[in-house]
Amino acid sequence: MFLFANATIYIGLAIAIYSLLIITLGISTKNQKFINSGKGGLIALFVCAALAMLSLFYLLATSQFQYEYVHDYTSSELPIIYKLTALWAGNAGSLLLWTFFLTLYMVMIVFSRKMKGNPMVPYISAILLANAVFFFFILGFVAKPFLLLDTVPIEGKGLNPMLQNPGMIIHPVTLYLGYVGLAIPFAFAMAALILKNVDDFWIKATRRWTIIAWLFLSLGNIFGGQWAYVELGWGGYWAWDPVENASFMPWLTATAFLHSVMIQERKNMLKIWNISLIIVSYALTLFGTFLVRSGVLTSVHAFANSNLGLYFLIFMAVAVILALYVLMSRYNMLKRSAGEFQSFVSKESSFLVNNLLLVGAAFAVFWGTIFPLVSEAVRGTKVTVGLPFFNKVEAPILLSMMFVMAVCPMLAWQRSTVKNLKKNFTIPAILAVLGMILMVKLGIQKAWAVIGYGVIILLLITHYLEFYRGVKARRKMTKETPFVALYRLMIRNRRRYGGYIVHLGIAFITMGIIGSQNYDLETMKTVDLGQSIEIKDYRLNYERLDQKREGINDIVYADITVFKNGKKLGSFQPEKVFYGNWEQPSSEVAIISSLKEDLYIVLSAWEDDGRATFVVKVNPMMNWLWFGSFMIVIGALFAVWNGKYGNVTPRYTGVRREVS
Amino acid sequence: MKNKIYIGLLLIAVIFQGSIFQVEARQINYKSAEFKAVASQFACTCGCGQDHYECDPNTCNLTTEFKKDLVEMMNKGWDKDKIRKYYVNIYGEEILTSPEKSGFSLMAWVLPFVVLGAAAAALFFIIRKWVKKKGAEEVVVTEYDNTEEEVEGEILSSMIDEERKKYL
Amino acid sequence: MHDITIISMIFTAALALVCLFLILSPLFKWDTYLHVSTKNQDLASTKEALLTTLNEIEFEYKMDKISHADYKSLKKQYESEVASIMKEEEQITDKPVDQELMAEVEKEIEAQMKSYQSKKGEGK
Repeated sequence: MFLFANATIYIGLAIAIYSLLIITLGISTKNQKFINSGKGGLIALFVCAALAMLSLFYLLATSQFQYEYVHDYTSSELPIIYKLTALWAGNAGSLLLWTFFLTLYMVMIVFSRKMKGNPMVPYISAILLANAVFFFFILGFVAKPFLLLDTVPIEGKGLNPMLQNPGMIIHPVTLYLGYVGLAIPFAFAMAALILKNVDDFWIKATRRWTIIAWLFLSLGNIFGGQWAYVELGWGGYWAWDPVENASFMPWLTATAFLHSVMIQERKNMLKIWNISLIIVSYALTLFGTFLVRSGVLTSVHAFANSNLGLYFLIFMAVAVILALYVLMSRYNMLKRSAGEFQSFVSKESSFLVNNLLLVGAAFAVFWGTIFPLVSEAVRGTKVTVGLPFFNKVEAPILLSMMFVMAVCPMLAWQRSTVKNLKKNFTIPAILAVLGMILMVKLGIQKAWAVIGYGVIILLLITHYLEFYRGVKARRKMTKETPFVALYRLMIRNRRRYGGYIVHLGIAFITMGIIGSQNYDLETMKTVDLGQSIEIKDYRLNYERLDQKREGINDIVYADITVFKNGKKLGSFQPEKVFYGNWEQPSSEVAIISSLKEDLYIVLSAWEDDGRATFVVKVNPMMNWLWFGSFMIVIGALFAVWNGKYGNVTPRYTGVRREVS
Repeated sequence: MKNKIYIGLLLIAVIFQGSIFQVEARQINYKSAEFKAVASQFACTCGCGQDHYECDPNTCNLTTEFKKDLVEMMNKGWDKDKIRKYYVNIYGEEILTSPEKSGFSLMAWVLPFVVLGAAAAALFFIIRKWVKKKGAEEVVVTEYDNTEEEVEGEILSSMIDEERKKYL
Repeated sequence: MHDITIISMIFTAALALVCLFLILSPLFKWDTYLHVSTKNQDLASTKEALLTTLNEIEFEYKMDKISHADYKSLKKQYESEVASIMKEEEQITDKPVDQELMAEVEKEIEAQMKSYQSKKGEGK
């Protein structure tokens, strides 16, 4: 097995280098045979990566502790599912997963039906192959997954209990799919530039990929937050940790990209901007990895291994410099076709404002993340830039983003007039203001909450009107019944209406965030057996403290009966788990969820006379967050679904004089 | 098995040893709003990446002592700014969860908005330039020379309308 | 090392052979590229795009997002673009004269003409 597993990596590296060279040769000599050989190499590469994954899965599942990786991240009593998912618990394994996704995407793209006979294919393959060479090099020489130990240990170190959670099964996978996914539009953009194709083919060819990558990136972030919420026992879901920031930044720029490409598709403008955005997004995915693996910044996510980050930094620098070089060398061609705007008030300009805010938000995150390094370099003082900083800086930017999102649907392409905007805007604005007044009357008086919810009310109304008026307009033209009209309206403009659904999802998430950030309650109490803790309208009766044994872990748990307004909600058991092979105990929280709020109970400590200390939190509107996330998935899937209709994008030209 | 309970006990003993001697110190709840205002200013350096309000004393020994000290100072009547100054003097700015809003650290707070403002201004001028460029041109109004052409034009337009509806 | 078994060697050899086959086999095949001329397709897709643009303008007008004057002029502009494409298409299809089709088109136009003239009073 040792020979075979390592062979998959090194043969993979050899093939990646060979394919890259032969495709480059094929491109320069215009020899189709060479190109085809390189394409064969892509399949071979995929086979290698898949077999490497399978080998590691096999080793993990059968607990072959003579392998360092298996020994470091698993133990024999671990449930089989966590034995397998330990594949992405460490450096080498997670990079292997990344490599596998990369080769998978490569094969899917290069051999897709749509790309058959397209002259861009060799270029795209070459660019992605350069990535593959890098990753196989890392696997072969820096973070080796199949390293043997000198002795054969009887037992492994076990998996960090924090990672033994369903959220951790899926969070890294989705995040990597998102990261790798962004390499695809990047490769297409570069290929198009190298070929001097300055039209929007690369955008059309990759828009589905971009949305999928964006969806996975969103899911990665959401699952990460969800995992933090249920597993870390701290009651929050987002801490602005450098690593979280690293995955949030490409999300912001990719979101900006998704919007600004629409301007290029319709109006043939902003070419340089779009290419820059995709370069930045791609670079940020690598930068994130650099942050996680290098240990320059302290983080809960930090992986032990060290100089790996440096390789990522170098690779990122090379990629960015080459990309910028290509962009600069084609600058004049791109600039030549700069278009024009017909009005200040138009969807185009609102998209530009959207881009400004999203990229601005990304910059703020970036700046905050690297500021400790800047400060240390400039004046030698270390500073910590943590949660309060990001909350304060990001809140106004992202809230104005929500406002733009609320107004945007009411604008037309090309030329809206202020008059029309007023006509469409008055009623929703009045309703939103009324809503805000009502909130203040009802006791919601924190400025952020009132403004935030006001903006969201506006957003919900304008989005509702967008659907309502769309159906009305369609019925005028087609005389369909309302439901047929709604259905056809949506499936024939998949991207637009999918996008609106995503907007609504974002609105729900924002409501959840505002609610849970501003109106959470928390208490910590030590109580005797039989006593109770009261928080808000909940009463928690502490009935019993006991312990049980599960496998090699000891679990201490408390029985708590929860009443709300005197009505019994049931019995819950917050736990503290002591692991047989892990020093730190961890808390298994009890969460009682409802639409309105979550009751979050942590068993913190206890004494032998039965007195126990609990941390109890009330987190309002947490379920709105998860519901909004679900809507994002629905919306994004709706947008990329391969329907019969809706693949044609309207195209606007400037005002033409020559036509008569 | 019993071991674990003992570990738990030991932890408790560590956490509450202060409380046995200082009755008045117990008055301040570690999860109260006043304590949060003070403690959340300081970053825990045990590697948990949280502040001293969030950091769980059961998994992080460092915060236990720190919390106790904070409570002591609060009982002495120090307000959060005084406590903040005290710690910054000892440990430097690193102890704070967010940089100071003065000196070089002010850059951290201001730069994002400066950049955003500058970009917004640039965007405004760019759009204005683009809009102006169009302003010079005339909007096309199709004029037909005679009725025959007009009829043809109308026919064409209704044909296009039909065609268009296929894509509706 | 201790753990190199015969099976492992066989698998490795198999992998190497498969990879070699994948990269070498294309070198001994002659594969030609198909270059489809896309001029005609281009026209069709531009027309499609313009027609959807017209639809979008129609929607935006009916949803009160653009003013009547803008709507009129935009509609005119894009209709004339479609018209010019239709003319171009006609010229392309003209060359391989398909009499039957031509007759059909002619008939259609005539019918349109009639229906238009009968409707003319109502206006649009």
